[in-house]
Amino acid sequence: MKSLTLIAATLLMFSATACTDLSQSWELDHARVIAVRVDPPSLAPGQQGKITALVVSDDGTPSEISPAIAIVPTEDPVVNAAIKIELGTWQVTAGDANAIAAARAAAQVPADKPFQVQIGARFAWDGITRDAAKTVGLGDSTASNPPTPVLTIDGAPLTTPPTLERGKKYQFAMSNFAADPMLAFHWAVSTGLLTKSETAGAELEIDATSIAGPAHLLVTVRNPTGGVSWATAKFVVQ
Amino acid sequence: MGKARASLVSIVGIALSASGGHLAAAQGDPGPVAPPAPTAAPVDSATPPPAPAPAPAPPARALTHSLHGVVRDAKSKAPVVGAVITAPSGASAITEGDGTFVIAVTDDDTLLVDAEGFDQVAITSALEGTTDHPLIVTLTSLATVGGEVVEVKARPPTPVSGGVTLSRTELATIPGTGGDLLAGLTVMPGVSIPQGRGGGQGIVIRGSAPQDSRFLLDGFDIPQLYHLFNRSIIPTQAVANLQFQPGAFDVKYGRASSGIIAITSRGGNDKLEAVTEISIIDAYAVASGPISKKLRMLASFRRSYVDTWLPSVLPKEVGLVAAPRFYDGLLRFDYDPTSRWHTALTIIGSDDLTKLISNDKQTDKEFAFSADTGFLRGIASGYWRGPNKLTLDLGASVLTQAVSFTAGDQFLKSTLFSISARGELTKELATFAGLRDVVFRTGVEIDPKRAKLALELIQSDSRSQQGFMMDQSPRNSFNGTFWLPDFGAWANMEAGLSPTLRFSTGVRVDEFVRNRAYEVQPRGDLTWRPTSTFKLRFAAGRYTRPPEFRDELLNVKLGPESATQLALGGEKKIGSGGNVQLTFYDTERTGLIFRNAQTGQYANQGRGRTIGAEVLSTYQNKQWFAWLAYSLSKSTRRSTAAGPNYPFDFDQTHDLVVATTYKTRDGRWQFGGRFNYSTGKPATPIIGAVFDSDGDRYIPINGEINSTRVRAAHQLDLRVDRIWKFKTWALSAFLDINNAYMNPAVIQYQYNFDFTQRASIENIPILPSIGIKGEL
Repeated sequence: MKSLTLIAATLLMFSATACTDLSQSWELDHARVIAVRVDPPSLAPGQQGKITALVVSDDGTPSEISPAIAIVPTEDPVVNAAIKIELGTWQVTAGDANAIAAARAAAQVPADKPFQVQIGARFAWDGITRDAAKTVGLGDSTASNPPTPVLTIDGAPLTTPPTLERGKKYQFAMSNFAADPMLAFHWAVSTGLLTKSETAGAELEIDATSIAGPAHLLVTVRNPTGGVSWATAKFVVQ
Repeated sequence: MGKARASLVSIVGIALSASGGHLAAAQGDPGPVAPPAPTAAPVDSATPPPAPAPAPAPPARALTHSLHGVVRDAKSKAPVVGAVITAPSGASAITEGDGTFVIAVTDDDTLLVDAEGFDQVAITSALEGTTDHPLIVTLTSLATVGGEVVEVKARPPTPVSGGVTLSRTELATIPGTGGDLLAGLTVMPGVSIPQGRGGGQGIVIRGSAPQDSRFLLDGFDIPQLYHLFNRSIIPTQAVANLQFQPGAFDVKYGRASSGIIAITSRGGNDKLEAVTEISIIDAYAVASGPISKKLRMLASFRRSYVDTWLPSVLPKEVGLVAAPRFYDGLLRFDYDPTSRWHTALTIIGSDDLTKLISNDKQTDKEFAFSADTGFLRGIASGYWRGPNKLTLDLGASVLTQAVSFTAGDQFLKSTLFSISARGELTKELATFAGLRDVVFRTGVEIDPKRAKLALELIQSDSRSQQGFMMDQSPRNSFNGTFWLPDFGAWANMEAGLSPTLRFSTGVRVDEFVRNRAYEVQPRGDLTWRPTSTFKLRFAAGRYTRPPEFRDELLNVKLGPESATQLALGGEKKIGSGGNVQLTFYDTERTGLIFRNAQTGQYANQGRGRTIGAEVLSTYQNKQWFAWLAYSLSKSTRRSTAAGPNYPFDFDQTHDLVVATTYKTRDGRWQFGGRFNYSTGKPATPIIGAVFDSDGDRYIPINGEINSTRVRAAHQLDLRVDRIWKFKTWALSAFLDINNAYMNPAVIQYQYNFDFTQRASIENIPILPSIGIKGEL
């Protein structure tokens, strides 16, 4: 039975070579959107939330910006009655309780669960544009974004940009977060070799190829309710 | 070709048909099987003289002239395909599907006729053979025991347009293959071994999917074709021959909508023979010989030793729990209880194991991968040649297979047990209803399988690489046991309408019980042979494949995929040793299984078409062998009847293979080279991506399906063989360099996390194989 012999493609790893110089998600080596936040991530009827994004430039410089465009990508009048996005202020406003109840009913969502709506947003900075999607919960205000991470380096608070030496490894962590299977962490740097970038504590090695001068570090924390927070920092490579 | 063993050489008989006549008229009823003449004698005398034909004027005898002949099995009178006829001048010829050959000779040359499984025969060119009065050479099987000639082969399949039979020696010495059976297949026009996603196990023939073709050993499916490194599971030295039928094949084959590759395992010899071969990847030994007067045996065993060196080349973070290793074995007994019966028992087994644990540097979590696959198949076959040209070909097989695959949190575990059987009855008549040389065949096969399957896998669209598959893609889950019975029956008639025109017509019916589907498949062909050096063949037929590939099994409502194949082929022998085949084909596919965009479930909603042309040109003499194969094809698919056409994943516009080998006059050295160029396979470009902030991932935006291609592949393979002959044994060594100028083929593209960068996954740039072979 041919269906039972599908493993050959997987075993390709032993008979092929793959180029490994593709950029990794922990490398801040080109412009991209790092995270999109709606604060709060879940809105009670009539409640407002603001859309913000963390983006990085080609040199890895992070910045917080608002969307250039944001839409609810559906023509369903029931959904459109349950949410509004105000241009300019980029506030998301949940519809009234009846509109959200109608949307829940149409989508067969239980009354005690938030009605999830996906927002499409376009961000423009440094002459480039990138698109992103973000889900907002309607009819429930219990969800929240995680607190802003407080960064540490080798156990000490990361306040002023530290100077990092080549050939050494540094431990980055957050004093207000520890390993938690319910949370997703994502570290990224503009230079050096980063490992454990998807854990609560990352390790940065400043090697011979690291670029001397100021560099950037950031971390995002996501929770299961759609909440996201971030922190950024600078350091200097000697 | 078979080795010329002086001790076994016996000239059994040479006969020039008393009244001449065409090949088709020479197959009269020989009556009961009789012992062979012990010395040179016309053994074809039992053949009744054919209807008198107008006696042509004898050809003018020049210093050099063309000798036309046909080589046949002494008892069955069936044509012997692939026999090599060699003249002292070095000129040589190879017999075609109908056993015919043409060779340039001078007066009183002694020609050697050598064919796999037969005694070598010497003939003299003083005997005349012309187009209309071919010299008939009969060969006696090596399986001559107790003074009786026993039948060792069933009637060979009708040659198909573009079809080729490759002998063991040819498969073993093709440059760039490392002597591997399957790698040798890639010299055929339009044939490739798929790699990467969508590949899996199988062979791509004429731009079809691998699952559209079948791979048979002694008439039964081989559930696994390759070990790691694309090493085939059957050592070439355990193979008698390989028949490649790229399409428009006979009614005796079913459950395939593209082509058939049929391997015949090698029967034991009547004297002791042993071969062992050692290469970088594996080592194997093959031994054969007689156990008693009526019983012969062949055994082969292979074990890889990749596990001894692979750990040193893998990245440090990859921890090998069990380094990849494989082994296989084949055991075959041949027993001839009477002169009318030939029986064989073949047992083949294979096992592959790999286990590794990789530590992800970023998540700091371990990723476990394991694959353990194995199967054991036993095949009992019997061939009976009765009186009055009645033959019966029987086979029964037991298969047990186990597969265990784990990758992270995905897994597949299965066991399969099958008892299958097939039988075919053949009756030949000299004349019937005004037709000549008539052959009736009818047969049945049953293949019930019982499978236990548990899986948790990302849903795959097995027909396409359309877009990027996310880890978060929908998954298939299944845990259960089910029956998978397939039945087939067929009937066929083949006859000559005139001395130059012959037809075949038949029908095959398949029942795929699990899917409650019956498929009626009419097939036929017409062959016109105006001369012994030229023929044209037109074939047409319907072919089906059951929905049993990968997760198709989980949907019992699916129907089979169907194909209507048309093929027109011409074949011309040129001079001595030259041959050219040209084939045009057109295949329409319906009921192709695609995932429905609305339901997400598989449905028989797709269509496809493949059109193409193939050229296969060969030349062979005593020292030179040259091969040129070229395929031009276009294979398209559409996911619905009204949808747009796009290039199929395995579409390959151009495929060129040029190969040659040269053997020194003393036979001690052989040099070979092969150049291959092929169009890159289609790929779907990713033209952008949207960031999904909730999942912290990028969703790719696909461009038009298969609207781009990976880089075209071309490579040069080189091979050198050296043979040392000693009194009682021979030692040979080879160096085979695959991809000598290090131009690795692109298998597929790989993207970075946000789809802004692309890189190629490439084949190993160069793969040298060194082998040592000892032969008793």
